[in-house]
Amino acid sequence: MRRTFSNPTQYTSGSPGRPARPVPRAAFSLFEIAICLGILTMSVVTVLMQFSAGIRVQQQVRYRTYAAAKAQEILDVFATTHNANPHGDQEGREAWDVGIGYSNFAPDLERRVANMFNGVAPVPPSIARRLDSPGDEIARILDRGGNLYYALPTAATGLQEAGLPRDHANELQKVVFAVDGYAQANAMHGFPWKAWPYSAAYPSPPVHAPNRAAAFLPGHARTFPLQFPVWNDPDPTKPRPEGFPFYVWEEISDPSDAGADWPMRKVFDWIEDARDPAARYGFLAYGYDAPVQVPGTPWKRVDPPAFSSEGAVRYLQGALWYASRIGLPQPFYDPGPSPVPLADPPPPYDPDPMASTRIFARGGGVAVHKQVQAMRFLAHAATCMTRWKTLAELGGQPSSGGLAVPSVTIDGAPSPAIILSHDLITYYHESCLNLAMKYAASFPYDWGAPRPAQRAIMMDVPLLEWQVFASRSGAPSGAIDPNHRCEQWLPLSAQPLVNPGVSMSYPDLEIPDGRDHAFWGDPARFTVTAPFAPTERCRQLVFWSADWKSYEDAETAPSAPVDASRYPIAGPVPGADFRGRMWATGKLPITGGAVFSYVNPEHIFLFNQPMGAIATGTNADPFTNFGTGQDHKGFNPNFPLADVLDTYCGVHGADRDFNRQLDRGPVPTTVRMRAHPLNRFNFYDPRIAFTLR
Amino acid sequence: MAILDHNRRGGFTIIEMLISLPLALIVAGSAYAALRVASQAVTTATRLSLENTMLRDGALAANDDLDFWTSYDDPSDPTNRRLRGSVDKWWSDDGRGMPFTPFAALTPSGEPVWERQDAGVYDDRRGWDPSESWSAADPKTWWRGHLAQRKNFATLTHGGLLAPDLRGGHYGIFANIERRQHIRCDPHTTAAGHACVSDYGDVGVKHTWLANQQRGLLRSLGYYGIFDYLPPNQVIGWHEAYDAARTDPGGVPTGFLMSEVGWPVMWNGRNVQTQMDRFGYHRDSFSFRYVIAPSYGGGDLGTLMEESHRMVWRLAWAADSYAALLERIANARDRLPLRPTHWPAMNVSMARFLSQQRMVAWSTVRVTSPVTGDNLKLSFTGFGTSLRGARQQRRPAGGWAAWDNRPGAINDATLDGQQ
Repeated sequence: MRRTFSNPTQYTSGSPGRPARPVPRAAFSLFEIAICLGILTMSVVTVLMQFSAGIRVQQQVRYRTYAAAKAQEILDVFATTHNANPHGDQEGREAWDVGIGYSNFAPDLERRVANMFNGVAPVPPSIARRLDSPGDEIARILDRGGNLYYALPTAATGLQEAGLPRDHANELQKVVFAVDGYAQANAMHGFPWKAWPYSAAYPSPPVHAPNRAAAFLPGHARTFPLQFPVWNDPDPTKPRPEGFPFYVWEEISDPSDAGADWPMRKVFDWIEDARDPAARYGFLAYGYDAPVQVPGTPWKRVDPPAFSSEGAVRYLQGALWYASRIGLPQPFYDPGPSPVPLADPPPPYDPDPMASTRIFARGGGVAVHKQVQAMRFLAHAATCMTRWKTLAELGGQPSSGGLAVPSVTIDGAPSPAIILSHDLITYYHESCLNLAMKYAASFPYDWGAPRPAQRAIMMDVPLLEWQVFASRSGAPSGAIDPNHRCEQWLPLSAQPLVNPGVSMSYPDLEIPDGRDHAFWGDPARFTVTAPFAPTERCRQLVFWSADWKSYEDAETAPSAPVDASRYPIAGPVPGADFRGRMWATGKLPITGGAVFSYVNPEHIFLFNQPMGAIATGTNADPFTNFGTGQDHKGFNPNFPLADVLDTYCGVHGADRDFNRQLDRGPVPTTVRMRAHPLNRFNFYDPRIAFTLR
Repeated sequence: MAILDHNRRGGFTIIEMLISLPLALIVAGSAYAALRVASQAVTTATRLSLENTMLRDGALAANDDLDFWTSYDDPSDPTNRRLRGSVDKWWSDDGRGMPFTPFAALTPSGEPVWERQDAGVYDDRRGWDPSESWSAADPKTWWRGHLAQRKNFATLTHGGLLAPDLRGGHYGIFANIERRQHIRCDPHTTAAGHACVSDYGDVGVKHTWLANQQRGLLRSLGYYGIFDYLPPNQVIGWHEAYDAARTDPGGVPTGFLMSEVGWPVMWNGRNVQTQMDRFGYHRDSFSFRYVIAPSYGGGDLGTLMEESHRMVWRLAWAADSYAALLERIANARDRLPLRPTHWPAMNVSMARFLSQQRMVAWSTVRVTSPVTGDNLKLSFTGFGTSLRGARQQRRPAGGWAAWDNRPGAINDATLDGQQ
């Protein structure tokens, strides 16, 4: 330390004339003290900063814990959410007519997870754009069309938030995340022209149901104007209410059935003699006890009633006629005494569903799907007889004799005569299931017969994808602007599709089979089964922390734009333009919890009116969907369309912390905010849709 | 010799004091403030650290529970095995077990909950066989029935295939609970005046395995258990002897006919019914409205049996509809019962249920301040062991079951075994 002098004029005594030696003082100068204080202050500040840094570290640690839990949940939901697509129309006249044509519900994490049941929604873009992140990663993701997400207040419970108890917001909402990396081309989740796989109960009669309008029925389709409850009414003379027409999809769906006689008509409904109501064959008369109407006379039921033993016999005669007409040999439908069901190989069972298909050898070369159909109808019709005849009347068990089912002439050809026994009914039933299961497991690209509803397997879902190097274009159904054009990639299948038939919704449109390369893409471009390197498909789930809820517009900022694939649009409907199909269908309310995959992920929190004049802290229930079920002002189709769509699109914001009040944070919108990186997780989108459990 | 300097001053000047005192005050004030801030910071950091530790501990506990189900059944704690009981009171003889009841256990009346019988071949086996593969190619696993089967005559009047009048015939002749079954007709008539003609007769039935598996699982485990154990592509519903109070006219238990539509439940990733109506082709998920949960909630065993773990909760979207369910099944437990009083309380809950055709295991970790009562909450779901897997982790008499997949290894008995 340098010595200092408290007073340089003071000197010790000495010789005269010689200055006295200065007396040193043991003290600091002000300068030294100032420096020391400065150093001390810096040290203290540094230490204090360490404290705050320690707090920040603890906060970051907490956010990392949140992020890890959320990542775990996201991937849990991704893997375990079922593939069904509840209540959304999946068939259009063209791929661009329905949401699934836009890849909604594709096996892509964002598509599958970001909805109101799975706890993820996009941060409003106007807020996301204010967040700065290292390397401008958030901005880069937004620029590419991605979203920044936040977690809804509760976990991915699968329960609608409105039904959950009120709870406070949690810090998890300060964690935001995004998916870095592009979604890859994966297997198509649904075929927009026909929502295959179609399922049917085995055994069952030909699939028949109402259609939305005759406008989509081909000219050769028969329609039946009556509805179930009316047909069962004891008074058939009642005035018939207007209803959507029924038609028999299956009798017109198989292109190989086309011809003068449409043989499957005899299985469903065939009036051999218009003057004789009893000469009506097939399921319709029996199954619905269908009244008949001779022109100019009232409706009346036949006598004896078609829903009777005699009616059941006529249904069976129609099914036998079909089997014979399509060329099946007699041993197929009349195997003689003690029949052994068709099986491949012999029981107990075939452990290899892809084994050789010798079970179909008994069909005499008839197309396999027709064998399946014929046995399905025979089994159903024959089992109906157990409603009317006793075991003894059907030959006992084992059967000896049985009920004689005589030959009748239908459309100029005789039906086979058989002795129907209990054993024969069992033969039909066992063979029906054996054939159907083998067919469904072995021919995934043959759509000639529906898949058995009682056993869903992966082979029901053929491998389809979009060929992203070629496309078709056309006008959307119900286009408001006639010049508007849509474009969609070409579909591809792993193997050429055979017997695609027609869809249930639009049976007037033939779906080209796999040989039509104007419709189907280039098979050489099929990639779903191709090997790939991990680096080609890896994506990252990236988490940041940011207190975006502090913004003054955290709840009033509009939702992220809803991707077109999420619009709950109905398939083409006669008389309804594109806009009308979006909201006025009644059956497809944009409110429904059932259509959660098709709505704005913030759906349940959305405000239904401008909130600018509403005071902070106001109870938000009157302005949201909470507690009101699905009948909500903002979504009610009776309200002006513009209001409905504004609400649906989240124009007015949402109660994003689910505290049921309008919140405004202290941070003005002009302030930018720092997003601190937390965690990164690698993942892959699956190539095909699957569900773990 | 030193000369004493009488002019020398022995203290600070007033100026020095005037300067030094404020400086000292500043230093002292700063130090105090720094210490105070430091103290607060340390307190805050300590609290954050403690809460973070608790959160992590809670998250780890929840993840542990995802795999081991200890909140519902703790093999190491005899006081926490309440879901191993058995009762005989619901659905007459159908109510027997609970989610963790050993299949080999006896009910209070001395009957086996679900006895395994390996006698016979193929379709004659009974009881749960853990080695059964349930191959989709195996005909004994195929559901045989009429998917349009409806409920009893008196309540429904729909026509056609939907008529509750056995219009499609007796499917109980193909598959049933019993090898030999008297196939009866419902004596009632429909609204349209149709009545069944007469009993069909005594029939030898070929397929009985699946019906017994389904009924056995329901009896032994309840609704959650049956959905957990059965392959997801199963139709649920079996034929048994006709009983006007319990089955439809064809003998399918009404408990497994969906109330809105009246046909058997199917729980799968695709769906039971392809619907085509005026708005086109839909794939509907009938189960999406159902929340099915095993419960640990309060009440005696009877309450648990009848109202909880076997329950199919049909809930509307109205506010707080799920509150009762979640409160009952969440089974929140204090993770730190012996904590210091100034520590936050921490509990972890695990609610397991089925919704949207997804098996949900919903964990919530709550850290509650002892001073302010504020909650810190971490809520997440995860993928873990199924109920079936959890049962195979446990020995029937308590304790964890050891398992070794080496050839020849002898493994411990589990809740699924038959001893």
